[in-house]
Amino acid sequence: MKLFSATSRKLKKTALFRSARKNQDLLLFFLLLLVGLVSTLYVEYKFQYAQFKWLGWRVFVIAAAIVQYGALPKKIHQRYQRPLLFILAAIVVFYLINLLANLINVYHLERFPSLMGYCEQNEQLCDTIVRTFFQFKVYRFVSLTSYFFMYVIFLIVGLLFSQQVYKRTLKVWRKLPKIRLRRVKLKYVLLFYFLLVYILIQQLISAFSTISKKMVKMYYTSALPYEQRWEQVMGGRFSFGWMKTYSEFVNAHTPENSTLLIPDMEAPWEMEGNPDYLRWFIYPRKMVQMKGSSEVPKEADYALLTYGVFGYYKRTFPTFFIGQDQINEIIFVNQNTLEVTRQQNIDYHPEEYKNVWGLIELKK
Amino acid sequence: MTLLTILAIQVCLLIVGYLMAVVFGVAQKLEALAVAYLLGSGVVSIVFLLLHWLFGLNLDATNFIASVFLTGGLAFLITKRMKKTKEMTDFRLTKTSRVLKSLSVFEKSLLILLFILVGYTIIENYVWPVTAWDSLALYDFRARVMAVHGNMVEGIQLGYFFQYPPFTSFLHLFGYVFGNERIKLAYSFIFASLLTSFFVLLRRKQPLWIALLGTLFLAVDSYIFGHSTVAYTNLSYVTFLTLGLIYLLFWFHEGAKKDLLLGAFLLGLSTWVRSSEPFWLVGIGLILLRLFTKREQVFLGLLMIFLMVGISRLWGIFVQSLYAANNFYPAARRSLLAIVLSSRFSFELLLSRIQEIGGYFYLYSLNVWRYLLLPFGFSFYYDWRAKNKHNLTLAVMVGLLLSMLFGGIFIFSLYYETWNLITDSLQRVSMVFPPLLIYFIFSSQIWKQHGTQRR
Repeated sequence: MKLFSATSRKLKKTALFRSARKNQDLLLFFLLLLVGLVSTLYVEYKFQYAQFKWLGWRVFVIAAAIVQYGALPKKIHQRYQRPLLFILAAIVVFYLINLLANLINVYHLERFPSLMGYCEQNEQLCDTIVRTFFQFKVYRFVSLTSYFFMYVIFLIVGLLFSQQVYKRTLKVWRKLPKIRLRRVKLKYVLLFYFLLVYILIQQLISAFSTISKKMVKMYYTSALPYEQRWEQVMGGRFSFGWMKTYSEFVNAHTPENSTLLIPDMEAPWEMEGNPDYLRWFIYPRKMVQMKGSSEVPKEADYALLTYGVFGYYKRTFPTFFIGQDQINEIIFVNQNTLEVTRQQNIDYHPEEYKNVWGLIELKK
Repeated sequence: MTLLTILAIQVCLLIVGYLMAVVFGVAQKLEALAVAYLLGSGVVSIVFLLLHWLFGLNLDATNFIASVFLTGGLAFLITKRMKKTKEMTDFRLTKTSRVLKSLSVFEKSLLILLFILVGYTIIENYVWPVTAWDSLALYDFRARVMAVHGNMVEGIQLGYFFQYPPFTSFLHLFGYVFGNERIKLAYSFIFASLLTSFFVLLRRKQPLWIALLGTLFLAVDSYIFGHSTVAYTNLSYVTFLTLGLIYLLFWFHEGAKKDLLLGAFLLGLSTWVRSSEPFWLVGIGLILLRLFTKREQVFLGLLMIFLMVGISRLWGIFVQSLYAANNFYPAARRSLLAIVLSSRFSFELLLSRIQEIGGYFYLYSLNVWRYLLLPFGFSFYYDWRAKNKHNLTLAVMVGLLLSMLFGGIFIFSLYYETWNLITDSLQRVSMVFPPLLIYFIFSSQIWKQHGTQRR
């Protein structure tokens, strides 16, 4: 115990301790900043797909750093103003490079004939660039999420305006009429200010990350004719986007006054089995469902042959056998190439039609 | 050309609304511009339906042009009589640039962030088509059917067609009748109107930087921002409802006629977007309370209540007359009162249902606005201590809205077995709270600067 108190006394005499005590506010700020930055790098490195889950906690730390920075003396702000601006500019540039790399999709540069032509003539240079890309793991930079950049950008923006807002908040607080808070006045204002910074930064990061992600998608879709964008916006041909392309196939091969047999609204046909939803795609065609019946309804002119647009669990519709005496022809569409083929005089067995899309024209 | 056409349609609505705002007595250009799109789109869409219903005009481009000229022309003639046209149409840029120059770096930064957010929604809404589920199932689908037939008769056969008032479907239709598909742009105009009006209202109480900060808070609210690019009715509804309530709140405490007119119109128009929620009744209660206590502007107040009830009933009456004209008589629906009265509940069952609803409410409604609870608590404490009547009235209004929502879920649970499975819907309905809570926080006494000059 004596040894401990002696060591403690000695420590208190050191210049480092005196300086640390004098600058404890600054140290606290740096600690918060360090925890905030290290945690965001760690999350980025380890939990690529759980960004949002961790967002609240990380923003909590950086909001505390911003508030703490606002409370520091003016001379510190003056000293760090320029470096902060420089870092902000650098991060924005890095972010723009990252965005550009994602926009042009650096993994598929074969889409640019002029670049391929250039590389054929300067094979060595292109080889070196590709090797450097993989050797120095530049792909790690390309795959950085927009959350990472927004987190750092809004941290610095927050720091830049921290003192200004802090002072104003404090000034406002001091002038509150007829409310006495005794000794805890400063703590309350800090808490209120902290809460607002926390909420605002969190929402800003969330909104701007969304914008950033959508911008990349928008860049790709904007190159397509407006009518074809639906498929891309909804995740492409092998996702929900198939709904529109498949419906266009149905519309092209059925008259407007026809009635279509569609699946009941259950997995995996939540989209094409929902008459209120499907009608947007195939109007003015009419729809009819089995609704538990085992017989094909008489009014049906066609039956959708679908494998389920929605969900992972897939199943073929119609789920039952249809003899060739009831079928005029089956029209297939290839989901990949959109090539259309037809077959006549065949029975329909659902188990033979896995991952197949098309239409069954029924005899009347 | 596509961009020009769709912009021209929106600008037409904006001009009509601007003239209407002037007629209502709005003397500030920014405020008139802020509410212009809301008033213009709301009133033109109502006149559009009336011309179709009463004069047999098709729901097409001619009807749209006639509605714009009729409403705009009438408003223009009144403004001429009021001799306000000259000063309210003087849009010299020198003053705007002077105001912009006077802003601090912080204020400019907030403004830039707001412009980026609105600008982004304009780009997305222009580039991407309508894909949202409910919009395809109803709102956009209706517009496409009306564009094909020029009327709504087909809707009787189609079943799910008349369940919601047609406001957003008409906004889509205004584009389709001119062969334009980029109709989502209307939602950016609504988003911009919400933000600008919110700023204007907050600015009445607070210095510029606080008003801008509060507006940015609203702009980045994940639900509000998310819905600015989704063709649903929720953003429009929240915009009309919350702005209407705040305008009425101002009228309740300050008694300015234009606040009553704007508040009542906006609140009435909220029922033209969605009629199933009863939130607008809070506004009627507020008007009646002032009429009883102050006994001022009684005629105007009653007229406005009549107007609001009229707008809320318009769609229902139209649909009934359409059914009758086509010899269609749908099965009568039980009234809510009959449902509540016929329900037999033991006390234990009632308690357990309330508990169940509480859990459901906590999980899905509170989820939308819980992030604002702590700052709201702080602000409320100071407003309570400082007896800030403006905000305390707003707190009562928010409390009433919450009770209505809770009661609504309860009644819904009486006749809808899967009442607790429509979580998305509850979240979207709960979107009415963030604007009101953010307004409360930023207009609170906690920010008040006594003795300092407001800029």
